[in-house]
Amino acid sequence: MHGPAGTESRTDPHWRDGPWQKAGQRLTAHRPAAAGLTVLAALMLAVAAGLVAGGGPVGAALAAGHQSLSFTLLAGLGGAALGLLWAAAAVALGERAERAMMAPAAALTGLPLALALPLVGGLLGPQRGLAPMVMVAALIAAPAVAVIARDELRALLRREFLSAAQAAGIPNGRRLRRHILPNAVLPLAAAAWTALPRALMAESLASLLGLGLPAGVTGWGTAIGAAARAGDAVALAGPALLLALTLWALHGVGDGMRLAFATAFSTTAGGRR
Amino acid sequence: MLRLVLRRVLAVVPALLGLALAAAVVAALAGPGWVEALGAALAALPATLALVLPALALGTVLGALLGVMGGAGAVLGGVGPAMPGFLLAAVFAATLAKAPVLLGLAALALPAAAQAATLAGRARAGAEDTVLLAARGRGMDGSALLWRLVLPLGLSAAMGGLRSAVAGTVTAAVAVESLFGRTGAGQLFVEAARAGDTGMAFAALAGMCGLTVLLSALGGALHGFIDPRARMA
Amino acid sequence: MSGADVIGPDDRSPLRVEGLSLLTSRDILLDRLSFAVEPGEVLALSGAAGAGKTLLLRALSGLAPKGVTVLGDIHIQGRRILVTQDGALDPLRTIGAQFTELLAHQSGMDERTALRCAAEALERFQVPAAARRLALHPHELGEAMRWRAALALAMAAEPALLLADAPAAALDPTQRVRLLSDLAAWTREAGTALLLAGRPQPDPIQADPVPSGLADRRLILAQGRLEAPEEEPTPAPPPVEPAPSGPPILSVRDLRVAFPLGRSWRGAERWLTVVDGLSIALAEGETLALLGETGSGKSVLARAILRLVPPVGGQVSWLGTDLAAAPPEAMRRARGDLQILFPDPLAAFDPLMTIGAQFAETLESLRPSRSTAQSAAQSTADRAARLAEALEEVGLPAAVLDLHPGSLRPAEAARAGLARALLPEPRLLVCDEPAATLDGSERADFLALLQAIRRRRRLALLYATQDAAEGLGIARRALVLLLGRIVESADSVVLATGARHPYSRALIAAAGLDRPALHGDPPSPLRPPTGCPLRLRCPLAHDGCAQVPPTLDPVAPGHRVACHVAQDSAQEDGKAP
Ligand code: SF4
Repeated sequence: MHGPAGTESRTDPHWRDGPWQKAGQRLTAHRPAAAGLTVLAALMLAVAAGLVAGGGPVGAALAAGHQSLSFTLLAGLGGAALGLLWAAAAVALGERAERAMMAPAAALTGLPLALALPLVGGLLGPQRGLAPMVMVAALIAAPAVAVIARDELRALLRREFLSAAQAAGIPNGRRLRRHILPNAVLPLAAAAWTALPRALMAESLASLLGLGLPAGVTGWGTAIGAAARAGDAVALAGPALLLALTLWALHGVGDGMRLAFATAFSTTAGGRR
Repeated sequence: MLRLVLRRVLAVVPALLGLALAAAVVAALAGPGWVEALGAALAALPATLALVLPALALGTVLGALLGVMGGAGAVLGGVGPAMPGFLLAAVFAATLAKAPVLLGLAALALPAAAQAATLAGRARAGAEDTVLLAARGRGMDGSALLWRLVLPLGLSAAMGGLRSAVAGTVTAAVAVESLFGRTGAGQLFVEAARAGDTGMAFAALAGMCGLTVLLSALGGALHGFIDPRARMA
Repeated sequence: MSGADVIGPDDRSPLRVEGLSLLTSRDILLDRLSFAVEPGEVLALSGAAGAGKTLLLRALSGLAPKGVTVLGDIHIQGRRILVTQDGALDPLRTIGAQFTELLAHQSGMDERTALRCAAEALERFQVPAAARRLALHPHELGEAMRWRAALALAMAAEPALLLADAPAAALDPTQRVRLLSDLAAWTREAGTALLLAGRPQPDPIQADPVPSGLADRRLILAQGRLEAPEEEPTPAPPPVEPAPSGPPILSVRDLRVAFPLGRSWRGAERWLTVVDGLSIALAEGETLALLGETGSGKSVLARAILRLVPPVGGQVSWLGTDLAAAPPEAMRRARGDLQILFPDPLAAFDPLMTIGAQFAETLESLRPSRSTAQSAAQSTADRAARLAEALEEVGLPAAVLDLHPGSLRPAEAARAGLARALLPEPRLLVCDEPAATLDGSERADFLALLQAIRRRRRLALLYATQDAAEGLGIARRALVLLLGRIVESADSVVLATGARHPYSRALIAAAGLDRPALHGDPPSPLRPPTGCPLRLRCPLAHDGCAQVPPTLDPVAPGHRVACHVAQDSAQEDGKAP
């Protein structure tokens, strides 16, 4: 009888690693994601350093980055939370409610939603506060997150190990806590991440039109808009480059997360019907 | 084809009516003169369409072509996320003071092309070991394979992403119109928003949403024309 | 090995390979293969998953993947065509257009002739109304029909050599074996050399297609080399066990499982019935096979018994308690007695928890430690020992407890799944194709282990599978399921040699790679035919079959069949002597 060959003789040196490590390895194996993470970390440091050192056009661009990035972070987190709540509620409330809740989300992703931010910015006037703008940006980012998150949750609920847990007599509450929630973390994180580039795009566009960040607060978009209207290519270069770099990094990391966490996180690729 | 177009367009009529109604209600609530606001928004739409449509068509086709070829297409797709249309528009506006219309078009077409290139490249890579290998196994190769199979597959994939491309292009068109001083719904929208004219701004925005929905529907019909799998639904 | 024959200069074999090696920069994938295929010959190529069958076929058709160096000689006379593993067709064009294009390209045929050719080619695979199918796109065809189109397309080009890589692997056995027999008959008639690779998954082609006449010769690819098949010892017949007696421990009565499909536009609720009024009784230690293909409901039945899928009607009672009405506590106790093996054992483990943690969770849930007297430390030590013991019983080292499922190989996962099912010391094991992810010797070993454990523990077994040979080998009795109903039930020994229902016969024939007599494709479960569910595929069907659905009636002691013709002939047999 051939034994199942114990556990030795494997070619992959990392075969023993736990699932979280493996997910991390998959993420960093995706080159844009690894580069994106590095860029984002560097940017954070540079912005922090720029705040301290300040001065010059570089310092100004970095200071603007501080505003843009903080806004993005706040709005992105809000959008992600909203989107995840939306999806979770839809899945939890049963099929009818799910269809009723997800149809508008899917329809909204096909509209130029980002324009809602300059609209609100204009309506609130130049004395607008930061909080309502953050809220609107979060709302703009939420539907796309909801659509992705719903698909991930549905896929998760179909996985066989949940049947196995049921066959082991594990009560529903415990099944949710021990099996569903932990396994939902990474795919939902990938879904949530997409809120960040969306929020940054919306904010930059609105600020570029002069209808985004409140008067007196200068973000990358504000700087770019001013430079473009003045025809000042030199003043434009710094913020434009930084914005492009940030967007690219955010997308790269998001792509990597999607590839590494969403589909491949199950132990087997694809499932039998 | 005609039936497909009709079906798609009819399917979005309720959405369009809803948008029109919402715009009318908001404009009416915002103050008198809402009929003029709606009229102005509608009248400004063709100019925006003239900007968006060629950019999308050009971007999608060229992007798909580059994407299936690999090389330049992969590079274009790779830097795509770094260059949203409004950023390109700002860069063009700043560097070339007297910017011709073509630059505005390019600012809109490039992101669309980048997205199309990514999707087409991915479709090609995915088909390499399935559909393309099977076709090669039947003795098809060279330019016949490229023109009859690879390119249509890439184009189909690129058109699958048309919905988000349309939304992105319309959004960017606002920046282009505003920065380049072209008239159009986007320009109208920005002016109205700056002036705090709720009715006009909302009407213009609703108009652009309607444009997006309509273009997406047409794009879907075209996609169905190329790819029979996209015909249902 | 056969390629070593002396080959004359006037050699006409469509394919002759000498000293073919495939290398990457790091390893040797295939090592100096030599063989030849003659016109009209069918050569079967088998080998475990990853043995390089696909690679070999790609190299032979000149399409080796990038980074693979091909050394040695490949002589090909005439046209060669490769049918890839997925049998992909051009998704954007109709079947007819693909025929016209290929035929115009290869033999300059005009469109009318090409279309006629195409219809004739499809008819060779018994496609009804072939000309009408030519106007369809590949995605509008069913899986089986797509395969027929792909193979017909390849054969219509009149190749001298057809390389088929595990064709139609995902089809049900009865459809697949019929398709392959038709293909082999056609290539023999047309003088085409056919190289038929087996699929990596459990596959009768892996076993031996020569005796049944599907293939003329068989080569095995192992460790990058070709081996001639050795005589496999016929497995000793399993010791005949006495029929278990006693009252049934599990009894299923009129079980119905259906899924709502929403409402039709008239507001009538529509249901997809998957299990349609099934009754089963199982005594202590009894083994029962559920044989059936996709859509037979065997898998749903297995799950419905454990209440993993809610039934809409009927009763499942375990030791006299009705599980549908059982309060949670009683249900939990029953779950300790009823355990299940899943078709994909790896997917049945939570990827984030170690095997040990999941074992402990199962044990704690189903056999909670009630010992208050014992110190907690001692009971944990007891548990750890128990987990290690469970692994030992299935032949895994205790170190597996600390691993996550992602680190297990399929064979280990299957054993770990078995160990988990055994932990609560069940009395009934429900198996849903438990070896579906294993192949070759791993599969055989796993099934042997399952049998040994079952005997030792005197477990009752419910074994769902689509492979009739496997099911009949494992269980003492068998039920054949079709569209959620039992069509035949008998002892395995009786069924293996004297099955009476046309569907059971087809299943058993397919397991032996004989051409099954069923034609066409299974009907959609949404619109089952009136009368007998097999009517549209049955070679014996007569008018009466459309009107009266046959009932499951005994034809001999312990042998029941639901078929008008089989029942009539059984009556005549009974009268004759
Ligand atoms: S009842 Fe008729 S159709 Fe059904 S299996 Fe018997 S002979 Fe065939």
